[in-house]
Amino acid sequence: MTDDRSLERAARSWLEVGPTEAPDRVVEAALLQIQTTSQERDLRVPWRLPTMSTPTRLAAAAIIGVLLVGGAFLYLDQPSQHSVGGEPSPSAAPSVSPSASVAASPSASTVAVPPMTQPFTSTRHGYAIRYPSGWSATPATKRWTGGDGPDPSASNMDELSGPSARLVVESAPLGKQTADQWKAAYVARFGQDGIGVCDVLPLDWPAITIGGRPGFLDGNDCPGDGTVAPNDRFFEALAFVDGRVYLFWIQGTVDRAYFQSMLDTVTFDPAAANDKP
Amino acid sequence: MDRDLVEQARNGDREAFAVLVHQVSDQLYAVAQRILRDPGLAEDALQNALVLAWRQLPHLREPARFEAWIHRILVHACYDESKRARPWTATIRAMSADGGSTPDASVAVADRDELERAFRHLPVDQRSVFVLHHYLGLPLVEIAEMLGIPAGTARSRLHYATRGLRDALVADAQPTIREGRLA
Repeated sequence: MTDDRSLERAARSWLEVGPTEAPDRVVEAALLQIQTTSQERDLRVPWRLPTMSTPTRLAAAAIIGVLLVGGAFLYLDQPSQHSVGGEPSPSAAPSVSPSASVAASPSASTVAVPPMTQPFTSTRHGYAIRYPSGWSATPATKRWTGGDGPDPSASNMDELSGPSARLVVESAPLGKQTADQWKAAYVARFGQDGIGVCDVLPLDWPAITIGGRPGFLDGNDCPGDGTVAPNDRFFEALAFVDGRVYLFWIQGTVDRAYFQSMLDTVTFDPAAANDKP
Repeated sequence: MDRDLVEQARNGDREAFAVLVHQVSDQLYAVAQRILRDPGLAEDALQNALVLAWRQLPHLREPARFEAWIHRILVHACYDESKRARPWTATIRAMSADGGSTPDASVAVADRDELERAFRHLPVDQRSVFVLHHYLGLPLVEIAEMLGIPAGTARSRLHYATRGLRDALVADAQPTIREGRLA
């Protein structure tokens, strides 16, 4: 029974054994609990408002504009708030790419961001990064061809792993493709976040900086699969540097600012990358 | 799956949700039972998954995806339940005595026990992919989409599960072979 085919056949037969009906008392208990459980309502503003007609959209935009201007006047009318040296207001990152129309800047982290003290240099993928103390680093042992989406269990990714978060990184030469062609093919294969579960961002991904270089945030606070931490989230970022695409993917108890604090430590060295199998 | 029912339930109709629950709960329970190998944990996973599905139903964007979506919730409930799994000795007894369907005569009792032991040693995320693939017959791409993981991850979890089972079975068989040679 130890060759794969007979093992799978035996396993299928074995899986057939066992109950196939849910106990009524369990279903009834759940339905009873639901009687006193309210539903979560989605209060997030959708990226697109497809049911609005154009005049309605213009009216909505005008109202939002008036509210913003009014709010700004009210804010500026309170000089004491400027003189006490409070938190600086968030500013958008400078536009770093002609194709990136939305700039993303992380708000203050709601997750404790540890200091990035440990250096890691990837001779396989051609970059260096810093990560928190207490994490482990597992370098990639194979090249990434760019044909797969992020797969944290694959040996073609560098993995930096901590108790409640994991960052994986890979890079590949673009070959004859332009960055835009690569992005289009990637979205077609895997969705905008590389997985297809969190495609809520516009196609022109928000621009960010990765180690001072232009990058794109193509996965932004997406639901993870719970394998790194309970209710974990994931983020993904891409950078195109000197003919290579770099993919950074973090999953765990993290937020946007946490991810950015790691990306800020990146130094790219595409010439040092090793693309041998 | 009736899209109208899903829409009604999404809008807070508890009766509509109850109808949906009765349509999917048997399969959800069967899947949970096979992932967790413990009736008590499977019951808890099912109940938690149904309540969580009710709470989160307004977030479901595509009613047509209800069945895949609730399976995903169930698998995550199984992850949670597996953390408080009991020692497996009680499990074998429960599963063997609880045959709701006819066992295949081609799999001997000894093999079933070996499989049970080996399967129990796999991580729950690998067990989940293995059950969704070999019990529900879902293709890996569909499993990946269902669980919100890359297709490569689904593929590697299935690969490692199969390899883990095979290695455990080989290891299990070693003393017998040695004993046979000695005898």
